[in-house]
Amino acid sequence: MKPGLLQFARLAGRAARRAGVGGGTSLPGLIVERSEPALIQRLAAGLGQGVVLVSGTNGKTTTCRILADLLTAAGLHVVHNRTGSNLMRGIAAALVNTPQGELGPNAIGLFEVDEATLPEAVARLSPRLVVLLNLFRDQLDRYGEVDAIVGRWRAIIATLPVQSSLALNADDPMVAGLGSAASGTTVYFGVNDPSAGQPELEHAADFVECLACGTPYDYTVTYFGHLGHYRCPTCGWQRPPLDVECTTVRSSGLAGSQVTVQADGATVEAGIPLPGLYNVYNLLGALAALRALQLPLGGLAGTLHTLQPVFGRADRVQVGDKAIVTLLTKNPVGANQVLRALAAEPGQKALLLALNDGVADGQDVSWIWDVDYELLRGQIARVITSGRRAADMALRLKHAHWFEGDEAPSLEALPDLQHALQTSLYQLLPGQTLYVLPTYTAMLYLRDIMTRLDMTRPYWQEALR
Amino acid sequence: MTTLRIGHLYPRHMNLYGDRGNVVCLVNRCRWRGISVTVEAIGLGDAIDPDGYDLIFVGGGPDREQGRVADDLLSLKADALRAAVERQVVLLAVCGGYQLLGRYYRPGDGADLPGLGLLDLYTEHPGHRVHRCIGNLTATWNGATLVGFENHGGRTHLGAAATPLATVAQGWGNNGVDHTEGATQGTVYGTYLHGSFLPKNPAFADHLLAQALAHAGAAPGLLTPLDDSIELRALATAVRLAGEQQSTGFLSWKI
Ligand SMILES: [Zn+2]
Repeated sequence: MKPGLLQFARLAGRAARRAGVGGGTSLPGLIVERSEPALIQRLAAGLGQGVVLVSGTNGKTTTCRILADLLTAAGLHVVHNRTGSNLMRGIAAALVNTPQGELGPNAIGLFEVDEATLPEAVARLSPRLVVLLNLFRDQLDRYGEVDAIVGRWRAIIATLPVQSSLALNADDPMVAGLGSAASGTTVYFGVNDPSAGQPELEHAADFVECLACGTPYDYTVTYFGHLGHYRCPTCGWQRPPLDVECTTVRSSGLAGSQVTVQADGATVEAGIPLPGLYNVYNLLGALAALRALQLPLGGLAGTLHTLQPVFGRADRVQVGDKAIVTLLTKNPVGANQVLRALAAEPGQKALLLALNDGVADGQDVSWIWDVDYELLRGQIARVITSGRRAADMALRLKHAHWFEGDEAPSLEALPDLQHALQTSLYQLLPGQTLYVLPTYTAMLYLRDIMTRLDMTRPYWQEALR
Repeated sequence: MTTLRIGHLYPRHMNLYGDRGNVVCLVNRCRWRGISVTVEAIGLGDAIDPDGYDLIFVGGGPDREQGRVADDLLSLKADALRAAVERQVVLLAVCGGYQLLGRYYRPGDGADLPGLGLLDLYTEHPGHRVHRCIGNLTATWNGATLVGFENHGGRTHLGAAATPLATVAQGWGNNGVDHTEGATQGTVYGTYLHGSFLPKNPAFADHLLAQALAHAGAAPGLLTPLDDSIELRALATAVRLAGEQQSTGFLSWKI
């Protein structure tokens, strides 16, 4: 190792944070990646309990957060990229920022990995377990089509040794089909509660056909996107049997869900304080990971009740006598889940929808036309659209009939996010809640604004020691 | 009273980039004017009644769907679509659907896919080592501006019978070389623009609706003015962002 590189990288990160440059969370990783890429492998070798990688289009950050709490409760020391920097440099940063003394026999690496980065992360980190949550259309301008990612995932999974295991979402046929490429153990998780389903596939659902023979699947239950209970009518390939099975889901809107989960003959009753069925899948992904790591699932209830939402994932910030709830919406399937949870909340809502078209958002904003904003028609007291594409969002809502009818709100598009946030808060009555639905970069910007206005702590503080 | 009948071709297979927004837009621009309108999905295996529609729309799809949709189009729908177009039914195709209306599509590897030949053009994919055409696009149509987002690997070249729909101001367009975007031939229209395309280009949406209403036998004058202020703001935003993208060199960086 070059003398002092590790120390230099850490110092640079600290200096960047002090200078207020983008949190500085991945700068040390960038420095290490550029000057000595092999350092990552060497540091990862100090993780006595191995490395767990979590990938998928939606839910990576939340799943990692839940799993980190569960692993910590199981007595392990978790090293992870908890601020959501999920490229190789973010993983490198997490390793570099961990004091050498904390690596050891009890340490486990837990890294969320961008879908496109997964092959490289698997090749370089030799994970003990890979958790794959789902694959949806997301940022098509950047990633290419979902099929291309499935192909790359399949190729890299085939390289995993027999000691490595997989935790796969059985309800996503794209993900479940990857099990046949693996030589090690595969743990399948899914939901067996048809009452949590919807009458038909939503517009946002990708068209999915049998991996073996190309026939479109028949669905007996559809949950969201292309997730559900599917079977190929031609060759009979179907959703694999579940190892971690959610048998009942009782939703309480934005407040979360009560679930019953069965695994290994044990039954876990848990309340998850995060809204929507998509967060139930995140919980199941974390439980399947525990099972794959051969850690006990019993006695989890206490841990689960203390789960805190990640910024932007249904977290609530109190501003005087008003509240702000932020719900990240970055692709059609995720956005529909957020809208469903919101629609289940009683009363007329005040909303701020912020649409950006940065590289991390997807520069093509066409995806908003696949989101069923119509779900909230008639439930809107006030709405402001914001972000670089504020007018596009307003136009989408106009076509979802949000501004029609006697009680309808007026259309207001304010591209400047701080202006939009302050106007939205000003219009709010005491005791009311503002629901903010930002895309990814709008969420980061929103967090900066709220920090500057003293509404919340800087998000990177929690990553520091 | 006139009812406008819209056929939505392959809504499940060809809806990669929110293309259904185009149908939503056509429906709403009718309803806001009190014009009744119906939409019928036409999927794989369905026959088409050439007298059943005033306007038919088809969007873009992932590469793997292109071959299957092309087979279905040629074997089950070609004659009916040709007959419909001869009877002045309006046909709008976006991106992948646009390519299928040409004479053929030549993939980077593999055999040519024959197209419907309703537009005198062909598309060739230069192979995956060459950049895709991705980004905000602005183009001039009838003295007005069209905006949208393009994302295509294939390069489209027009023959003599097809007329370019628009002239590229910013972006790639049909092939990145001759500054043409889209094509039109009789009542057939093809474009690479999504975003969705019609909501942000209300003048063009009304241009299509006028012809479709004429086909439906409606009296002229049904297309009363609408408040398009938010549409025009979205259009202006797209023009500004396309300009920024050009000046920051985003297009060359993006490949
Ligand atoms: Zn099959």
